[in-house]
Formats: sequence, structure tokens, C-alpha cells
Amino acid sequence: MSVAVQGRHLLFSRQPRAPWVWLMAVVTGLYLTVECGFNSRLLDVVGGMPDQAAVDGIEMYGRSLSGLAVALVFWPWVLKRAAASGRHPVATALLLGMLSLGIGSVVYVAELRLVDGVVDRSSAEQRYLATNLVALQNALVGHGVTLDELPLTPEQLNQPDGKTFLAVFPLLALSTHELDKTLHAQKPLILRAMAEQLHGGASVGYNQFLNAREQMIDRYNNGYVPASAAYQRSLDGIAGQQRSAWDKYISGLRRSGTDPDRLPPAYWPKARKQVQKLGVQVGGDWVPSDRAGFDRAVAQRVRGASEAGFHNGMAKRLEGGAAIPPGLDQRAFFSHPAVQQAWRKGLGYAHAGVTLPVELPPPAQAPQFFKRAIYDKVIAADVEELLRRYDAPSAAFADGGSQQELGRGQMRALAVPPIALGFSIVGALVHLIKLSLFLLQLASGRGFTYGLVKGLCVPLLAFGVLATFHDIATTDITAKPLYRYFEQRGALLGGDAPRWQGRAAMFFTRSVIHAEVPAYPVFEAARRYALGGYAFGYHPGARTAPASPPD
Amino acid sequence: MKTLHIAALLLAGAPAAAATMPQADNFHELESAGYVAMDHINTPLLYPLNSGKPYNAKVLLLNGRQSLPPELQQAARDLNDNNEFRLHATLQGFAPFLAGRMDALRHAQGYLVALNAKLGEYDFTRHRFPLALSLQVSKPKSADSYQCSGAYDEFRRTKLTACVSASNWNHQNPAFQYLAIDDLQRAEDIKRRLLNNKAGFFFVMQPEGRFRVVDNDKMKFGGFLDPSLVSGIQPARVLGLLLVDFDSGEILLSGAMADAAP
Repeated sequence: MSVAVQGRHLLFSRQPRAPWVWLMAVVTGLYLTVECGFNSRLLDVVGGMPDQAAVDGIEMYGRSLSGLAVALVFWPWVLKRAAASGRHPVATALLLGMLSLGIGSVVYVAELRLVDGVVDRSSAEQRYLATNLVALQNALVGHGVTLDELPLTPEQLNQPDGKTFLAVFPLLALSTHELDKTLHAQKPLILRAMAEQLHGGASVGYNQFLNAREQMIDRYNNGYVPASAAYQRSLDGIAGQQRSAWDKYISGLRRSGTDPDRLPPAYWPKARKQVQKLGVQVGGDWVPSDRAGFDRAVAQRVRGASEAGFHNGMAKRLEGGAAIPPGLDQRAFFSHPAVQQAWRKGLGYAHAGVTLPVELPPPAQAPQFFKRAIYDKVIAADVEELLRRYDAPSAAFADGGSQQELGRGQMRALAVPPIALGFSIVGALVHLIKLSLFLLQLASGRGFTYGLVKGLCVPLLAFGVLATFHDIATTDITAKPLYRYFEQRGALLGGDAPRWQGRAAMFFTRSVIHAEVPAYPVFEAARRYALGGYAFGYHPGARTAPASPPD
Repeated sequence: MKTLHIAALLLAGAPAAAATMPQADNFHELESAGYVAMDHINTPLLYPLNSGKPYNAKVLLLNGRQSLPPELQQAARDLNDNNEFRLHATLQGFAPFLAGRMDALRHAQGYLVALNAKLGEYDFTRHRFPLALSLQVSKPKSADSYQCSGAYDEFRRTKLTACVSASNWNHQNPAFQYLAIDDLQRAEDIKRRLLNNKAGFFFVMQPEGRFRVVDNDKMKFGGFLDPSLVSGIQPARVLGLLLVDFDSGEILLSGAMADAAP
């Protein structure tokens, strides 16, 4: 420490190349790698029309990384004092762990509360608009619609600037003048595009239909048919089982020196119990000489067991399969409501009442047949179902309203990507600057004199770096008239005159879009090569069947 | 047939009841008219008749020997023969008799059911005997009693039989609690005959309702020395009471059940 205080300067002074600086440089570098990888993945999520689970998953990673980022800010303070006091490394590690856990938890919860607060405080009108804007966002991702005065090609939407724009689009568009009227006219088109995007398009749908059809045929041939045959074999054995059970019962009576006809009525209850012990559930009024009643009970037992076995087996093989009776031929099986329902559900066609055919026209005509007879009807049904909910009166989106869940979920979907993106960018820049300072200190032996000053300067520098991108036009998206309109409306924050908060938000939104253009390739490279392609819980290819419209 | 003044307390309904009570001077006349005496043969046969189950003719005949007509009493001695061939032949000889009994039961107009009777001391003021009647088997802790006798089969050294129950009478019923006879000489004569077992009381009963199979062991009587188990009960309505001379079959007295209206 005595070296460090020599030649003190207000801002910079000589600083030791202490071991903790090396450690911080390494840890910050590692953190930056993860944060950069996360940032690139976040853009992939936003640009890939995520479902609620994907949004929740990436949000969790984002909050955790933000917590770690804030915790890392305090590490030098702990490490410096540990070095000065000669604290044992294990104790220091424990302290760092506890500190990180504590601060990380606080930040994690704070960020969660921030999003929850946005959702909780949102009005019914805002939720209604958010619901429809997220639908429009999805339609844009699916290339089902384009924005007038801001036409984006599919290629552009797959670029970093396009993805970033998509991430912030619902937030930008929220302040559009008479947005609800504009959206209302286009809603069927938007929802159709959204439904198409959910199903992946007619070609994807056709391939999924073929796969599902193959699976259903396999279930019929290798599941239903053998189970049905086993059931029938079991029924065929009823006569044998009746004979066997009756013989067993008779021999028991003969050992007692009687037969069913001569058994005194006083002994009938005992005889009934013995028969029931044999597994033949005769009734309380059964007469021991009643062979027909005995046979009925045996048949009932065998039939009951066979039916239970058959239905349980079918229930395991097919959702709702317990309702399918045995003995159906192929045509009857595939047209059975339970089969159709399970098949439709597997394909995400639950809302459509289409009958899925197992027999198809020749291969050359099959895709067209599928589109005409199935796909178009499914999309139409989905749009109808979506319209019913997305076009509900805005009051229905208030707490306690029929569309409360949808409204809250979509408000969350609107808020999470920009918030996560903002924290990610700021966190990355702050630690990038911190890393630079550590490296500078290691190279030149100079660093900030006071930690507090450093704590103020580093965020300012980070915002400064970000601000420089505001005027570096790395994309033409921000030059489009519609984007400028969004900026003007956004700066108003719902008022009549621009407000500084709105201006600041719009300023940094533009900066982020510009910054992602050069940053994304670097970040994506970090994710792919340094992190081994870690997916942060988002696996767009893992969804085999298209989702139904969200409930 | 003399009119028996029984249960003077309840004669209000007698005119209607009298219409259902068969008119006869002799017990055998009633039998000829389709009234079956529920003796040691006929009573147990109620079970095989109503259930369609087989019965053990040897057991039935051995236990109902006293109810056999005199011409068959001799043949019944051969029922204990150890030679199964001779036994078979003996039983074959009884087959027409038993078939006839079954047929008579199947088409019975009513039953003639013997009663246990206790005649009290004659009341010279009211000119009547106190009378306590009961059926052969009393149900424990109950005023009900049953006519149960003979055996249609045996199982584990227990006789199996059937019973007739009275649906409209038990010993607490006010009917038939007194036997009113004005003529002192006749009253004395009847008492003497009863004490010497030369006469006995019978209910004239009419089947009422379905034969009820008793599928529990609660209807057991006879104690551990000679246990009997009831397999079924035929409910029957008491139409009236007869006092019958055992030697001649003459009906000495007759009275209708007060509430025996159809």
C-alpha cells in the first residue's frame, strides 16, 4: 500500500500490479464472455418468435447475469482489503461467494420486481395494445406482414439490427397515435400471419402432418391391432375360464360333502364368499347352483380385466386412447373422435374441427390437398380463435377480466426483451471498461486513485461509449420515416410535448440498435467458440410440433 | 260341524271371515278339497317344491315315518336296509306316494297346520276355557312361531327342513284366546280328549306370498341333540281354527279367524 499512495493524483495515480488485479481481469474477462454470449442469444430469442417459456427462460438467465455483474463491481473492494489485511484466500473466497450471492439475489429480485411492476401497473388498454403489438411483432418475424414506410426484408430481420429492432418494436410502437384503430383494421392479417408463423407455414405443416400420420399408422399397426387381438383372445378364453372356475368351485363343495343343489341355504353366504375368493364376484343374491350367474360373473371379470388392460394400454399409447373400443378396422380407428383429437392436438390443430385423413392422394397432389383440405382450415380456425381473444374489448384485459392472463403475459413479452437487452448492453459495456482499466493497470501500473471516483466514471464511460453509437449509422432502419415517427411519439411519453425521459429512452434505443450491428458478430463468436455454443436454455429447433394459439 | 266360539272379543269381522273358511264335518273332507295337512312329509317338501332343488327321499321318509299312511308304514322299515339295491327298490316304491304329495302341495287350496295347545281351567261364569295356542317351533324372543317338521335332507348331521309361518297371527293375537262351550258335559268331553291326545287343534291356512329361502343360520331349532336347520318359509294366512278328533277325523269345533277377510 505504501507504493500505491506515492504520487497520488485526483483521478489517476500509480497503482500496484497486485495479484487481485490479475484475478479481476480474468474474472471480468470470463464474465464478459458469458454476457456477450447471452446478449447474442437474447437477440436470437427475440428474433425467433419465442413462446412464453423461452421468454421466461432467457429472462432468468438475464437476471442472474445482471446480479453477477453488480456483484463483480464490489469484488475489487473486497480483494484489496483482503490483500492488505493478509486474509486467508479461502476466507476471501467464502466472503466473495457470500457477497456475490447476496448482491446477486438482491439484483435478481429487483429486476424481477421491475418487470412485475411494469406488468402490474399496466392498464387494460396498454395490455390490449401490448397483446396486439406482440402479435404484430410475431407476424413481422414470420414475414407475414410488413410495415409501411419501414419495409424490412426477411434477411434484414435476421440481421442484428433487425433483431434488435424487433426486440424494441412493441415498445416503440406503443406510443403510436390511435394505434388501436390502426391495428384493428389489420388484425385478421396480423393474426393470420401469427398463426402461420406458429405452424411454420404450409410446407412445414405438411411435413409435420406426414410425420404424425406415420406415427399414428405405427400406433395402429403396432399398438392398437396387437392390443385388440389380445383383447379378443382374452374374450375367446372366457368359456375355458368359466369351466375351470366352476370345476374348482364344485370340487371345493364336494370336499365338504355336498354339491350346489344340495347345499343348504344357510350355507349360501359362505359359498358366495368362497366363490368371491376365487375371483368370481357373484352378487349377494346368487344361488350356489346358479351356473349361469356364475358364468356371467366369470365373463364379467375376464371382460372387465381385458377391457381395463386394453384401455390402459391404449391410454398409455395415445392421449384419450382409453375411449377407443377394441375391434375397430383401420378406417374406423382413424376416424374415431379420440384418435382424431389426439392427432389434432399433436399437430397443434386443437382449435380446428378438421378430420385428418390417413389416406392421401398421390404424392404429387398430396401437398396441395393438405393445404386445401387441412392447413387452410386450421389457419382459419386459429385466426377465428385468436380474433375472439385478441379482439376482445380492452376492458377484458384488466385484472379479473376474461383476457387478464393473455394481457399480462403479452405485456411481459413486450417488456422483457428491451429490459433484458438494456441491462445486458450496459453490463457488457461497464465490464468492458472495467477490464480495460484492469489491463491498463497491469500494463502501466496506473489506475483510478479512488474507488468511488472509479465507480462513477465507469458507468458514465459506458453510457458515453453507447452514446457514441447514436450517430454512427450502422443500419438504415433508424433512418426510415416510420422509425423517426416512433422516436417522435416515444419522446412524448403519451404527453403533448417531448420529455427528457422519453428523449433519453429513444436516444439509447437508437444507440443500442446501432451498437448491435458491430457487436453481435463478436458476441455470437464468443458464444459459439468460447462458450461452446451454449444455448442459454433456448432451443428453437426442439419444438417438433407447432404450438397452438396461446391460451 | 259345530260352531266354535273362539275369541269372542273379536267377532266383529266374523261374517266376512266365515266366507273364506272352508265348510266341512271331517278332516279328510278338507284334505279331499285340496287342503294339505302339514305333517312331517308335506312340510319339508315345501323347500324342494318351491326351490326346484332335489331332496333326499330316504331322509324325508325316515323322519316322516309317523306321517305315512298305514299301508306304507311297513315298507318304511326297509329304509334302513344296508343293501343299496334293496334300498333303491324301496325308494322306488315310495316314488308315486311322494310324487302325489308334491302334486297335492303344488295345487294346495290351503294348509292344515297342527298346533300345540294349552287348555286352562273352565270358567263356569263365562262358560269358556282359556286357550293358549302355538305353532310347533317358537322363535326366540318373539311372539312368532312356525310350523316346521320333518326333514328333506341332512347336512353335517343337521336336518334340513322348511316351515309355514302365520302372517296374520301370533300367540299375542287376541284371536283364539278362549274356547267357549256352553254345554258343560261337552266341555268336559273335549278337555278329556285333548288331555289324552285324542283330539287336536289345527289352523286352516292359505298360502300368502312367495316361499322365502332362508340363507342364514338363524332359523335353527332342536338343540344340539337333534338339530334342524330351516331352509325356507312359506308365509300363510290363518283362515280359522279346527278342533279335530284324531281317531275319526271328525271336526269337533270350528271357528273363523276374525280378521281373515280376503
